[in-house]
Amino acid sequence: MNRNQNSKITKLFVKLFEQSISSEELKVLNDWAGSNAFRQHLLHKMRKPTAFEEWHKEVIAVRTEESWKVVEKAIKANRGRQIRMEVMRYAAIAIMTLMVGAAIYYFSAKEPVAVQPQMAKNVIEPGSSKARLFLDDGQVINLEEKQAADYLEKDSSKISVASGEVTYLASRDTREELIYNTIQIPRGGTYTLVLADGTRVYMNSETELKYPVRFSTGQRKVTLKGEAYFEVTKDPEAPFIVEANNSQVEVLGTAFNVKAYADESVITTTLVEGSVKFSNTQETLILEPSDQTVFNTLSNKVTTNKVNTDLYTAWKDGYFWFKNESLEDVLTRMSRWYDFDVFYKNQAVKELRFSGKVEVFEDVDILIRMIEKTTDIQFEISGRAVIVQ
Amino acid sequence: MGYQTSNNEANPLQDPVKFKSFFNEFFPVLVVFARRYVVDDEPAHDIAQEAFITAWEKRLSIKNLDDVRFYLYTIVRNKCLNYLKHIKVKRVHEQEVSKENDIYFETVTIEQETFLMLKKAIGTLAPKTQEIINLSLQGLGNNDISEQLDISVNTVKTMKRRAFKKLSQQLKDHFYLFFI
Repeated sequence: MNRNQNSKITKLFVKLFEQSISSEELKVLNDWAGSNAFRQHLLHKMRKPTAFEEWHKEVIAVRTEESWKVVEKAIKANRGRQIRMEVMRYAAIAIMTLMVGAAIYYFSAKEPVAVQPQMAKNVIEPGSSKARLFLDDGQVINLEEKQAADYLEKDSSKISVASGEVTYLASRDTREELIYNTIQIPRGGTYTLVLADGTRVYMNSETELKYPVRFSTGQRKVTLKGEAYFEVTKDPEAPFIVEANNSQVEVLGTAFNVKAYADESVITTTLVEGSVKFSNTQETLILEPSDQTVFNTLSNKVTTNKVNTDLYTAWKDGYFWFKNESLEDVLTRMSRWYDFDVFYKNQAVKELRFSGKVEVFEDVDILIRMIEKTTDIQFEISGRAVIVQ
Repeated sequence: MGYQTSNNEANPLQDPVKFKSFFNEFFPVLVVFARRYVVDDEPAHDIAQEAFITAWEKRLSIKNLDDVRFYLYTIVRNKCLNYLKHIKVKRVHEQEVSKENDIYFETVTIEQETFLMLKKAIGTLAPKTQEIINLSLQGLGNNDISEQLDISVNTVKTMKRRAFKKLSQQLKDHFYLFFI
């Protein structure tokens, strides 16, 4: 069915009830109905002045509250089942990794650590849509507080802000001088940006992106610190370039993830579809779908592997998804989203390996308890700090 | 299909709090939709519940609110058709068979979307004005409304005119982005 036509027809029916329909519009409805029995039937029904009232009576009779209980229960049961399964997966993998981990633990632990099962009331909450937008003239917009609003840049490009998303509409201005905006996502935030060319950028916590409000011809270039997932609009004439930490990822039209945090010494590029060119001062590589390059900025080494890309892009869909990752990496990722600091009383546990998939909106307790259940590690949460015993 | 501009509204299937308010608003509409297929109250409720559960489980693949509603209509339609086959009504009415027709789906969907939109628009009016509009939509004339609410016929007329003006303005805004 043609959904665009449907919304047009819906609109006309609403106008019919609002008594603001014109005779031409009425004709559109009649033409639409034509000789089709179903459409004729609907038209006939809608022309009764009491149609809305009758529908409304049916709506009121629905047992919504009672039904919500049924749905809520099913959803909760299901989530419980999912978590139990995840815990079992954790357990299976943790047993294997613990054999390695335990050896390190055994040799490094000088004295037994007191087990403190109680957890302090914590203030750590999952992240949400937050960001700060820096316009060209220095104006700073705090997007967290903003309801829908529009702004104009000085070349009259339009910036539309709606919940969790900023969209750019390029002006028809043809001056070549570029105007840059910067968006900054704090810890505990995520945000979506739609650039003037339609490219969609999902930004993870603690991420900064600088981009022109309107691209020049021949090239589209943005600068990234942190992690973002790009769905690039195809334009063979103008390659899309992500600059991160002295490296460049160049594409024509594709979807990929770049992770380049300043406090990590690696830049990870994961290609979901299409093809991208990764280059730094040393070398240039062409990536194929499912390829992941890891560039170590300390050793200047680049390695490429085939990966399951879902693992590396799950964050944009609201999941933490780990596969055989060290506790240190797991907690680093979590700390960006939940905005907490991690302290290790015992360095050796950092190397324990974990796998699992968890929703990012879960309470931090649930995640931490999952790790506790499958290991000997105890956590203590105090204010915004997570202490690994 | 919609009166919500697409990308601006977050997907309610990704947020438990939004999910509940979306449920409260849309579940009744979905039951009415289901009853256009299965007629009976009980299976219509069951099917709409199942649809919401399915939608919650698969929440990540849907991008915007219009799509969420359309997706739910589609699930409910399929479940209803299955149900009708399953109960193997002895006399297979012509009507039952014709419910598989896509145009039938289209008209039932348009019906729900129209009324849902109208309901939402009326919900934004001042309480007194809402009362007038509701009576007017019950088919009452200005004189009847004036009697029932004990206000002058002229007041009824003025308030109605203002209300409908506001409604059609809203309608314009809702559709503005959708149709450019």
